[in-house]
Amino acid sequence: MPKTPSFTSTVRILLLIYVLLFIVFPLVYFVLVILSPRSLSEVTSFVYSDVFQRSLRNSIYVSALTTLLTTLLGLPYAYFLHRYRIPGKRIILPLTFMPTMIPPFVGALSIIFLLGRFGTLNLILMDLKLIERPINFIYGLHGVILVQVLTLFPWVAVNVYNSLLKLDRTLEEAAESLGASPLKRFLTVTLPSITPGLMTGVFMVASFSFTDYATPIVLGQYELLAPQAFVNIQQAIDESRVRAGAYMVFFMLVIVLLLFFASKRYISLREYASLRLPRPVEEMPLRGIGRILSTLYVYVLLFLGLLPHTFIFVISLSKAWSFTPLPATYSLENFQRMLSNSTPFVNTALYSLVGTAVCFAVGMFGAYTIVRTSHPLNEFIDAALSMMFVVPGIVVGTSYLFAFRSDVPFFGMIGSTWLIMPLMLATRRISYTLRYAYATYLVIRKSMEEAAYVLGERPLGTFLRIVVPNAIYGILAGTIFSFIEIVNELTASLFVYKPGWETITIQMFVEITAGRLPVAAAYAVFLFLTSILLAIAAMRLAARSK
Amino acid sequence: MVSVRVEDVWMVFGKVAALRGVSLEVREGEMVTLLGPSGCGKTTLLRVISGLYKPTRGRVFFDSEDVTEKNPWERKVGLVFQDYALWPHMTVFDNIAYGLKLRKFPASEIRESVRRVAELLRIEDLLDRYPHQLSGGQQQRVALARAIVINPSVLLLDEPLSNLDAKIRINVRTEIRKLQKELKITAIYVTHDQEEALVISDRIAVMNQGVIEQVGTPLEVYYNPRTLFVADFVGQVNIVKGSISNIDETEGIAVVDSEIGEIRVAAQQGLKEGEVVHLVFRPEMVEVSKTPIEGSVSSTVFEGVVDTVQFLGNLLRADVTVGGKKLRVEVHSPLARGWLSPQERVFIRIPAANVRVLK
Repeated sequence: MPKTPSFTSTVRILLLIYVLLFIVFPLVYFVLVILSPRSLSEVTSFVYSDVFQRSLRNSIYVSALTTLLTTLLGLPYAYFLHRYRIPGKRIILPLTFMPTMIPPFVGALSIIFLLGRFGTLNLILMDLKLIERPINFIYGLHGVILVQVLTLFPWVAVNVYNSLLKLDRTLEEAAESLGASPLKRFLTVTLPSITPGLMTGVFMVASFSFTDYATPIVLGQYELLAPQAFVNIQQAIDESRVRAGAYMVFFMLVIVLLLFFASKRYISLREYASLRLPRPVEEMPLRGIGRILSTLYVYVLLFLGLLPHTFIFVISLSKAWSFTPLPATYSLENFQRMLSNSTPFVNTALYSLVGTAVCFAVGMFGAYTIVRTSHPLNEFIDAALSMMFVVPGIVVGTSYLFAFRSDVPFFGMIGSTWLIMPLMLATRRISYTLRYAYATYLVIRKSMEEAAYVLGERPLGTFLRIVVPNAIYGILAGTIFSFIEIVNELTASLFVYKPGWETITIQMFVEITAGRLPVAAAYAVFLFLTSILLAIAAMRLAARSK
Repeated sequence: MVSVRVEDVWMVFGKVAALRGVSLEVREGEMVTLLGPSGCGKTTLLRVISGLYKPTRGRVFFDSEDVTEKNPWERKVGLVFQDYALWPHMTVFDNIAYGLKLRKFPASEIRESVRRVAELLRIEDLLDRYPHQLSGGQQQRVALARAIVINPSVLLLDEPLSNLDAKIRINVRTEIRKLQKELKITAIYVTHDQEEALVISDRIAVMNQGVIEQVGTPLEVYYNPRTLFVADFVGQVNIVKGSISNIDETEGIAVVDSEIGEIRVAAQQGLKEGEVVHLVFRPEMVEVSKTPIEGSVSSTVFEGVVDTVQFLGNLLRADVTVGGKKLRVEVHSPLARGWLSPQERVFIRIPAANVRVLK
């Protein structure tokens, strides 16, 4: 048989141990807890309970509507942006996806100031005597939908855009030459080819919206599955509440998995890697009213999408702001308060560095092993690692909470140290590094390694001296994206953390629930700026690797 | 420098046998070409010899040493890849010097060896460049330099010219041949291009479907193909089916009752009357005339009609319909010998000595 590099066997074993300990074990442990006989009878009565049924109904309503609206908004957005000469396109693309890097509940925080009962818009309308009493824009399920649509539509847009990049223009021209009308061409040629991107975006939005607890909590909406589950598990008032929360999480997992398998044949997780690198392509000039409308559409939507994130800056600089459309006085007080507590910064730095190191190591050695060797275990390891992209944060958080609890032998020991935080974060966000690493290794021709072998170089030396120098930029780019995602992770960390382990996102959430919204905004500004800088660095590296 | 011996090598990938019991001996300093269509197993055999593949069964010897179990990095072979496989992050110098550095040669010696090889291949001005700054032909030379600088026991070349333009290809193949003779290096050369194989080799091994059909000098393979496949793959050929109707021992002639009529061939040992055979003859062996010519004891004449004509510059290639079958003929220096046109009536003579009988 063909020879395979020998050090990869060691890498494969280490990888397998990692996957078993930090992916398979927590998830299986969690499912086993739910499926234990005692639980099962409880589950059945729980399913019929009023609170569960109402929450489930609300959650399905919110996520279905959010998904529908983000698709209706995001699809034309991507199509116009790809197809027509929209002014400022180069900058619009990064501006579209940058907000997706920071957690969506930040949008909720901003919306409270913008659209709250005595928020900017209501105050302006009242000042203009257009309304007498404030309009309730956001308190209710419609508020959750509004925030999610605004913050999540870029996911659909960017995924569809990515698919459009792969669409061969000549296919459409062939349809045109055969006399297909523009609508027919779109439905029969364009739409089928962008289905993978569209379905990936739709799945990501539906799954996130369905399991998001932070946005509803910030908006005070608790009658949804995810916030119910979070409150039950986190507050841990008694064992039965925790179990009820766990059942809800389990149901969410089942529904998300059903959703995933229903759309699986359209979704290409492998392609997700390139998602963050939209590049401009050849576009068509458009004249007259069509041009004005499509440009207007893109600009308005971009403005709305960026509004929450820009407004965060205003909030973070505000001082004792109430009953005026914009802050009366500005100060850096919120930033001073933020900086006076160094714990979240130290923790975030520590966890993200350790977590990113894990991502880097797995991306560098693991991805190489999976791409370059053939072994039955490779597929299992790859599937397990990729699956973490699909499993919602609330499920990962709950599983880790259960599986690494102090009464579980051995694993409890890991769970009692802060190391569990970076390990969980790395496991949850590793898919970004992996996809980049796969893509990078796949373009390195095998003959370049074989040329080294025949000259007398051994596999490890070949890997380090020939492969790594050619792959390093691609892997680093992916690692930085993992890093950004780790720094911005909230939904799982909030379950796993113990007092003293607060990260920036956790602290931000704590500040919001304590009512110190401007301080939370200061954290958000810090996160946003850091993430943008890192993303620019990553894109530079990725461009260099080509 | 070594001799290479491959004994009954099998290479099975899943359910596909890429090599089915291949044996071959390459003598010291000899250049042997593995020639065959894609998928015939020629590259697989080369990779088995290099150590990149471990054969499912069979042995590989360098001189008398059994190297079957040895890793590629323990074999000291030079391998030139179809895609050159130069390392993009290293300069030409570093690419060439890599194998010497691995062997811990002193820096001064490395510089000297690289310079010598670079001069030999006329790339001494390119040493500071990176591979992407080179043309295809230059990259090919660098790849060759990298392979020979370590003074390999055997030089393996895997379709090294297939990515080059036709003109450069002819130059480079001449240089490779010259270099190999100068260095007296044992070399195995893989190609699907029969012309390349004829030009460059001491001997050719024609491969088909995982087996070697014939090993021989270019002359042997061209004029005495042992199988229909070899006859058909190397050069242009006419194949006519028939059965032996009469053997005339005294004249040394056999008469074959073929699909286009009776053909006289040189009697060979082992032929029996009534036996079904394939008659194989090259287009350039056929004499074409516009005026009637006479057959003789030692040749056969047919009358036919020109079907299609191709002008290839130095020669005219025509298909002539004889007895419902198209025979390919060639007229060299067509201006002097007379142009052929479609629908023209012609006479062709096939000398008995130039017809090869295959079973």
